[in-house]
Amino acid sequence: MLSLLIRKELLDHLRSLRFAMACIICPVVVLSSVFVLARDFRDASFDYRTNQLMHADQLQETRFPHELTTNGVFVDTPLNPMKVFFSGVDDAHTSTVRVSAMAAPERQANLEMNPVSLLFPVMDLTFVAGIIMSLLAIAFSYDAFSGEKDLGTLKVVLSYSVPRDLLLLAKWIGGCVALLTPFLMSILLGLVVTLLFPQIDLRSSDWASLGLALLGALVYLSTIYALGLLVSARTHLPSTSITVLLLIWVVMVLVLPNLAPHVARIAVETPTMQAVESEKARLKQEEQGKFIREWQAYIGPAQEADTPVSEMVATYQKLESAMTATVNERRRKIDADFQRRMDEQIDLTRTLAKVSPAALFAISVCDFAGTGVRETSHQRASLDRYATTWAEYAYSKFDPAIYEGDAQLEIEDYPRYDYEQMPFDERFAQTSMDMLILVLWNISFLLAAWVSVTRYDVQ
Amino acid sequence: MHLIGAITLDGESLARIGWFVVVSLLYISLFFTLGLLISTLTHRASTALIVSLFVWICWILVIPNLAPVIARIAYPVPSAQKITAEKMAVDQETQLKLQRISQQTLSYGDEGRRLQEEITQEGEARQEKLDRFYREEFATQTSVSKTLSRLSPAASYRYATTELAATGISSFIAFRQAHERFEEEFDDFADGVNEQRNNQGRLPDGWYEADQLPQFHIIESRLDDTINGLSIDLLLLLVYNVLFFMGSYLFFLRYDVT
Repeated sequence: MLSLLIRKELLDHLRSLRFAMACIICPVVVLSSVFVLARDFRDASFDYRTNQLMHADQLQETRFPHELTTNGVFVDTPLNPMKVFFSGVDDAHTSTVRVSAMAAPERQANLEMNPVSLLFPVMDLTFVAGIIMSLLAIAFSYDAFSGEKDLGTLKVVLSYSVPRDLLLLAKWIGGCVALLTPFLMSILLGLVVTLLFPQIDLRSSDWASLGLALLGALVYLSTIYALGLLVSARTHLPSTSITVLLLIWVVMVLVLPNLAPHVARIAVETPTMQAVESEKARLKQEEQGKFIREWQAYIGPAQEADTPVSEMVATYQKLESAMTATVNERRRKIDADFQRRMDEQIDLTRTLAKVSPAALFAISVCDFAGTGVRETSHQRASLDRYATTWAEYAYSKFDPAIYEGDAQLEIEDYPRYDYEQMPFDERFAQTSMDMLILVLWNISFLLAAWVSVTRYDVQ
Repeated sequence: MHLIGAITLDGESLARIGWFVVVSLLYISLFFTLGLLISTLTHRASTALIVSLFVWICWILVIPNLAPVIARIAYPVPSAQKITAEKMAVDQETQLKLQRISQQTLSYGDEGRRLQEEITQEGEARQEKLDRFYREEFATQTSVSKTLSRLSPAASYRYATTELAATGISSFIAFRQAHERFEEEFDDFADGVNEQRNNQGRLPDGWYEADQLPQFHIIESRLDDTINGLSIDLLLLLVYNVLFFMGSYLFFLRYDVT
């Protein structure tokens, strides 16, 4: 019986105009998105290699150890092939970060971009599934019961001994299969497109992440479909269903996800980045001023007393490293305080986002793919660790002989920035709860739809 | 916002808001007339709705997002890294030439100095040419992106409203230009200070005057310039409105009401 009902439902969808529309929209949108992001990835991998060479060359031009502490080194964040599918919180595939002993790792701004892309960013699969496919899910499901009631076919079907719960299940399965088939086929084609780009090297953990993220997309779309069934079973006219569903869609997909960060910002007040940066700049200036005064008080008499250069360099190193240590310690305290409050804000945003399946989907899928908020925090922590290593290395290079012209600065052994992405297991553990909540949303909508269908007046 | 003192609205701001309302009304009426057109072309409400949804997805979501991509493929611009690498290569070549000159006897005397200056100027000219080429190519790509995206009224609406709010592409370009200008002026200022120190051995007292520092200044466009700039977008929104209304009228005349 169930298979017969599913078959009927599936055939109804396959013969409909909306399925034809889905068959056009899905490949166009998914293929263009994957192709564009894959091209961007290819260009970015070239830029990444060029930048690495250029920055290594720049570092080789360093002549004195104090340049290592003050100017620092430029490092490039490695590429993540998952960005081809899920762009995440940062559109850039790679970025250059300046790491020095004097300041926190500082990302270099890139103003050289097509400004039109800022107004119309490239669509990734999060956008395709989150916005476009969810709209199609509504278009597929809005008239499941109300439409059939309007046409009179529901009465005919139920005049046979068809259990209502089976009918609901058949509608859900048949509709989801019809909706997801063009989407999955397009994704498969998209994966074929990525094969044209040898730079996209997906490792086993990437495949696992991609698989889980796609599973997330399927759960999300089936949730929206279940919502469509629920609303359809609560209304008696398809026009009412679609109006209610569009209203819910606007609130759930557009309003709530955008509102959650603002509500969290009001609830957990965090100082602005400008305030934090100016506080850090103020204390740096204060400590630098102290350092300059101490150095000037020392260097004048030392030069008059013909103090050996080695002693002067040692004093410089001592004073500057003391200043850097104080600045870094205070800076870390400010950063830690800011980060603690920011984490509280992010946690609250995530909690609020759970109200909307769309927000839940976007956050969890990006976290699965390693392009979300958690990966960004992981990368920031890794850059902070590297900055500490760099400072230690830079101060170990203070050799008086270099300043006396008897030796040259050797920096072949400088520490390389080797970023390790958050392990898949960790990503999975942290995100599985979000996915579970999404599944719960799905079950809740289906249960509510079941209750509504059992009481539905088919007359 | 004005009453609680969060923002101050002057005459120009109010005029901008007025224009924003006009553009928004045009945009909304465009969708209304589009809905009418689709409704006169179909015979069932559900078909009209599905077609409207399809048109909305393609026209509002897909086309504007694809426009910059097509422009990037049609008018590729080398990346900033590539240009920087080429400039560095030019710089290295210039340094090599200068080293060669200084190793020759010619470097002593006026002839040597003239040659060195020529080589330096040639290097600078080549670097400037690269910068100019990059900027021009970029401007072409941006312009093509804008033109293509205007196939969708969503793009016209966004350009018009962001330009009115002074948060659009022009503001981005103005900021970038101001940044470049400031960088150049600040470099000149720092070079001047360094030269002074090198010539005199130390910096004279009072060398630093805060008001002599270069100022970061963004040139903001006036309202009439903004309106002139967005006239094409306004016209497009109007044309779409008229076309859809005319289309709906024509199809309604032939509509089978039985």
